[in-house]
Amino acid sequence: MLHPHTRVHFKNDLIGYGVFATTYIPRGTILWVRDPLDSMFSQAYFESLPAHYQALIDHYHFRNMRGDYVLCWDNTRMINHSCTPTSAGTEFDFEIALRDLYIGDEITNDYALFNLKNHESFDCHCNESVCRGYVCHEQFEDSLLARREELKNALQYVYSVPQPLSDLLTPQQIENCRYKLNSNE
Amino acid sequence: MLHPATELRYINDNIGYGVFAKTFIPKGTFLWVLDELDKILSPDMVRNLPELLRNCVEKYAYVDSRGDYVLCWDFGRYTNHSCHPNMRSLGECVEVAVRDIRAGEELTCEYGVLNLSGSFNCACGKPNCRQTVSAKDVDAYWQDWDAEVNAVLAVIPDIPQPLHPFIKANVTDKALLEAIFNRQPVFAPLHILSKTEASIMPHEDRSGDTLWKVRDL
Repeated sequence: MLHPHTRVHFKNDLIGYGVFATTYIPRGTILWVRDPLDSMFSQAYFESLPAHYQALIDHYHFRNMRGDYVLCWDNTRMINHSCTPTSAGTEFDFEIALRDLYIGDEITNDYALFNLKNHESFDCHCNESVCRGYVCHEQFEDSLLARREELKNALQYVYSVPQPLSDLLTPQQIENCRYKLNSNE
Repeated sequence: MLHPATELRYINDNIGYGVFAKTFIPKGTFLWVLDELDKILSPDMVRNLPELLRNCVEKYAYVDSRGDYVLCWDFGRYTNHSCHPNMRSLGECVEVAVRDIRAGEELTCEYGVLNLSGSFNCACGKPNCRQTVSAKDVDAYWQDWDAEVNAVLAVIPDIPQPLHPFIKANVTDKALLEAIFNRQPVFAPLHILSKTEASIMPHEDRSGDTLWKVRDL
């Protein structure tokens, strides 16, 4: 589930919708937690679906570290890519704000972390100074290192900021994440 | 699943989001269909969800004729109620445009057929606004509502129906759709959730709320 103080609005025809903060959301805030309403499909199940359903899922899913398709039930699936994302941690089944978000700031992810297949590489239009121009699976290692460093920093604030999603995850999940980040797993 | 020529817009803090047409959509077009990705949740599953999620389900899902919650996976769940809606239920798996819809117009449906557990105050501003909307309204209005659907049945096979391949229909609805596309006569009730004396029988769900079940046609 996505942080409640967010809103979807249409950006433009090229990018489509995006997800934006409607209040100040400080760094360290949990922005998303995978929950029982999200759907998960194996590669085999995905391939068994009719083509028109595969196309739908293709558009809105992300692939987790195990290679499963995750289709979020809520507006999480409208989160866009940015080469300087404001949110990371998907591989731990929750995401954290990497920096302070102000009203109207967009919530973004680094899509290079989503097990992209070759045909899923895309040109990036995030317009950030560090924009990589395109996003592909080959960037996985570099992106993982960069995002994990930011995640480690953001995690320091996790117990000192309001956490409206705290009921959806356990302190063990957070500590597990911290442990893995510190031991570079 | 919503018709592809639609978009989500935030209206205001009171109403929240709404769904709007991006192009002209002719009457008789399927605007929403139940599809394989919509989540069907039993009352037990909903009761066992963490409170945060349970509140979301209660806000965004509707209750079907079996008493299960249906949570639309796409923006369909943001369709607002109107007492003079431009779409109406055709069986349990289709909402059909009962009027021509112009680009920029909001898509609205009738919440009175969605097995509401209570009532809500409506401020749709239509001349026929009922002020208070509840599941009881079906008894009073189902004939008017079905008449609007009946009036567009004949054009359904003649216009583009991009949602047709996505329909997840039960046996009753499959027969209904087949009849419509074969231009055969269709018998009431078109509102499968309609509570006509002849077509429904009440049953208790596990929470003790009375729900309404449609007898197989």
